[in-house]
Amino acid sequence: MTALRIIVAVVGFFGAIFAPWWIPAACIVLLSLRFRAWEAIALGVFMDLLWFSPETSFHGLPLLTIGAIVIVWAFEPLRSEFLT
Amino acid sequence: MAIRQTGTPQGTGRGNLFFATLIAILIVLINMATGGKISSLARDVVAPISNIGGKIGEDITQNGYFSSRRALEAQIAALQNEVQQEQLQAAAFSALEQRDTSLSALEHLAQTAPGLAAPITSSIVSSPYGTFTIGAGSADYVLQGAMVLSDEGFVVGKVVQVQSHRSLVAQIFASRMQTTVSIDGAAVVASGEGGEAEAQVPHGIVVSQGDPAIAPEYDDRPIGIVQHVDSNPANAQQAVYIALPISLASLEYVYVTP
Repeated sequence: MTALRIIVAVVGFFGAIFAPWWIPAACIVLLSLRFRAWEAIALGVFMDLLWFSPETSFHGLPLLTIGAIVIVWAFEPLRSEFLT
Repeated sequence: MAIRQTGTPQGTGRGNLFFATLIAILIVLINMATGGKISSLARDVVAPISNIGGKIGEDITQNGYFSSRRALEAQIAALQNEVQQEQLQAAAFSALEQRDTSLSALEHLAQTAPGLAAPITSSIVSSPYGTFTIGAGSADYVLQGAMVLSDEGFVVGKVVQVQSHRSLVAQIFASRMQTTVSIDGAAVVASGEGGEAEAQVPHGIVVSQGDPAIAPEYDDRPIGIVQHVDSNPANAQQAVYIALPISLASLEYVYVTP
């Protein structure tokens, strides 16, 4: 299971550089669904650091970071109930 | 009911997550407070990886393994390119004609735009914010707000962040980008939708496919051509969709001018 977590995270980080943006976004969701994945938050921050521009973002907010934090914590009750 | 305490694996995992959340918020706040210093650092670290990745991709596609597929793709691309070139030439001619009319009236103000050619150093599709990086920065006298042009003279973006040897460019058609344009004499606002822009034009104005959209705020340069007009009389105004006649992904170099 740890291997899966590492693979998804690596795909996400490489996807943030080379692939369409929805691939790392999907990795964030996948990681958050199954694990208490701090790397999902790191991936959101990484994408914002690479690509963020206040002019083209919703109200100048770093959406990927906020989205990753929200998703990771939103799935916490689900993980606690079923996966641990 | 299970009692969960910090110190158990579950509690530790949650603690780590809480710690990661705090660090993430801290990084974002510091980055904002320092005007993007951490972003600059991240892009500097990623740039060599991005370059190596690009070279590997090029080697894989050129080693012959995907040759038949590549041949077909090349043929399709050549045909598409031919169509695009014709569209481009017609639009460029029309844009030049309009510019000539303006310039002849304002000849005394006409100046040649200084600038420099810069390579595109990142993927065009990876950014959720419609941004990409170019290999020129403040050391090359690139300024924030500078125009980024395609080789045909279309404005493709605007410099939004400048580092010493690298700059972040926001695409002109990125979501939430708004540009005032003139289409067949009508001054309207083109709102970026990621890859194209939409403008609402009054019904009385005749807009045709292929008409150039000229941006007065970018020295009367074209930002694209009209791809589609939805002139449904049930709507208060006609919706005009503007796009670049070329694929941004096909560009290797852009021209940056203040």
